[in-house]
Amino acid sequence: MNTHTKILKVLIVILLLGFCHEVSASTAVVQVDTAANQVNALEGTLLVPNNVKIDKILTGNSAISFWVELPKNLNNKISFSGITPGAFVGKRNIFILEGSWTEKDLSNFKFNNVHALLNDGKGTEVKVSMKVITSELQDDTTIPEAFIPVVSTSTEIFNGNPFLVFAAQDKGTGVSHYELAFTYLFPPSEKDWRVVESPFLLTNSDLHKKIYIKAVDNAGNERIVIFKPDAYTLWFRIGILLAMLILVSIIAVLRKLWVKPSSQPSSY
Amino acid sequence: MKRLTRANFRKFGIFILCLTLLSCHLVLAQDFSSNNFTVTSPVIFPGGYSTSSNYSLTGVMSQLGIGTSTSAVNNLFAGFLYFPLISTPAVSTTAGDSQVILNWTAANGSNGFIVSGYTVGRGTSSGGPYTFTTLGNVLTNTQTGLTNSTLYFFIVRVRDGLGNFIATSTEVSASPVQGSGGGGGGGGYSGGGNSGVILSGRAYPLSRVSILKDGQLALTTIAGPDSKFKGTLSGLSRGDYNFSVYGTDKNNIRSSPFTFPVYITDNVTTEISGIFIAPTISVDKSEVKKGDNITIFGQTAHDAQALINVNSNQEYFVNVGPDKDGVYLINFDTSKLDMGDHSTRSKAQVANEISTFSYEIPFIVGNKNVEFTQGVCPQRGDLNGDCRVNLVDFSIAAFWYKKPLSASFKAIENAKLNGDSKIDLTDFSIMAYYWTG
Repeated sequence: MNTHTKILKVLIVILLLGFCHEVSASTAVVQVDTAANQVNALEGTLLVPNNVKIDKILTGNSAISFWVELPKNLNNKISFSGITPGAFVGKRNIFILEGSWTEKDLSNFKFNNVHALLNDGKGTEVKVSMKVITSELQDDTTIPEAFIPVVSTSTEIFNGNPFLVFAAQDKGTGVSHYELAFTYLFPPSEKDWRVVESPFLLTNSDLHKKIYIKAVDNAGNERIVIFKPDAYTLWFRIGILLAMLILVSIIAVLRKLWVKPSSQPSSY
Repeated sequence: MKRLTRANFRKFGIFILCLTLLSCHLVLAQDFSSNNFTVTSPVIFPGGYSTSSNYSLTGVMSQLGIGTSTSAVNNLFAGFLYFPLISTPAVSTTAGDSQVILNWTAANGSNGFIVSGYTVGRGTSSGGPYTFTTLGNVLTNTQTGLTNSTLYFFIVRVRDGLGNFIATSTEVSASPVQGSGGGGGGGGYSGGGNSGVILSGRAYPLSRVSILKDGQLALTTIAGPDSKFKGTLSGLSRGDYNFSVYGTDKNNIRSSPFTFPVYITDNVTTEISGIFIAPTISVDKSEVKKGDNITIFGQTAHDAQALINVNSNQEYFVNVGPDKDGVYLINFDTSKLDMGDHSTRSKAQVANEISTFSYEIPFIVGNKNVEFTQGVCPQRGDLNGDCRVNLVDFSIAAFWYKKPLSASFKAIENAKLNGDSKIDLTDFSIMAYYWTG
């Protein structure tokens, strides 16, 4: 009995020790160092070792303001591309990785085709260094920041039809996706929402409705922004005017129909 | 006809020799002077071209001889008069518990000023005396061991390679508060609170000042008649932000943006002060006939001196005082410029505060005068022609990213981006540079 217990204990210790060397859920941040250079555009590909599993890529608190190519994992290759109006300088975080790897695996993460461009109006290329370092991600309980959607048209895209552009910032885990809903009067129900990307092509009827845009971060926090296109505002005003006219008409008709009891003395 | 005898020929030879020797000293030179010094009859001899494994040097001969030699190990600034320039840092303060975090923008030096580090001065009275902390070439410092609820004053001084102070920020102040945020940096995130930022500084009298938060227009305010502005943004989360501030002058011409990256902590208001928006700049001709004047003009703070820089083979600097509205103007004589491409830019100075450079405006010295039609729209990046460069233009470019361009969009790409008939990262970089939000 005692021997069995000892063997069991030893096995547990071995298992625990072995487990410590196994891959476990980890968080790492992809960081760029521009030295003293003011960089406003960055692209590249992160090559992840085959034995590493990437579960999630988070763009919260990134130095990149607008993503041309959101970092996405495709067969352990993560390509990314984006810009920062006003530029960034020094060591800055680009995106965060969640997955399973060991500390040793981190040294096998490689970068390929990294291009960083100076904020000089010409796009002059400059050398930067990139690395992946262990990080900790804390709870994100804050909703994405307020943002202003814009409706625009251009002969160069969507055949000149109107489109909606939007971009929210989230300093925590980053924006996961956007959802859109259109209603005439009342707030949208759950089934009205659909996942969309910016720029979003609008139909003519969309412009006569109230547009709800929902930014959802990777922790599930939501920010809803309501946009009223000019056409909606116009129709809304016309609708209110018509409703008032109808109301006034009804009151007038009712007044006519409502005959007051005569005050004249009755004749004998 | 008199015969040319051997004696006469010898006399003629001696005469020619004397003339040649004398002519060697006939070198054109011009005196340069200021209130402090004079350079008399300076002469630069042609230097030729010299190289080593570490550097190369191109000799020059001109009125103002500036030779710059650079390598990984050597820097040489040679020649007569030129203006080393430095911009003053804007400083932000974030009060914490018994501490104040200071962040500042990098001071940009040119023509000889190379920043080697910064020194932070701390005092309890405005104007000093200060206790100084010498730092390396860093852009942040946390002053610790402070007494809560006491108002502290800070300045940031810029040091050159020899340890001389070459610029000083405006004074900022903050009071440490018990139990307030403090700390910062790193990739993590927790909670989030009601944080804010106050941005203040100098623009142009009664000009519109736009503040961008991470590239999106967050606030527009109007500067006072004294050119000063102040804007407050609230409801910010904990994290890294990029604030850009630009001014729009009375002719609706926009300045280059002043950008300040800052880490915002929870429940704390960060103050960024000493922002000095660069002057606006424009010219009256895109091509000017050599010898004619080109008018260079713009707007800056009413009490500033505008320093106009004309870039050519040699650089020219002209100081001009603006009128009460901050409008400056010079008629620059192009007879001293070579034929070909040139450009101009400007910066402004009030006491010890120096702005960053304005946008650079190109012009040609040629055989004719061509009126410059800059208008009020950004020179590049505005793809939908609404005189702004923002998310809409970004979306249009992103639509064509790595795709073959249509014929009509090729023309736009050629005029508004880098003209290589494709949309790639370089085009987005150009767009980011001219971004208006």
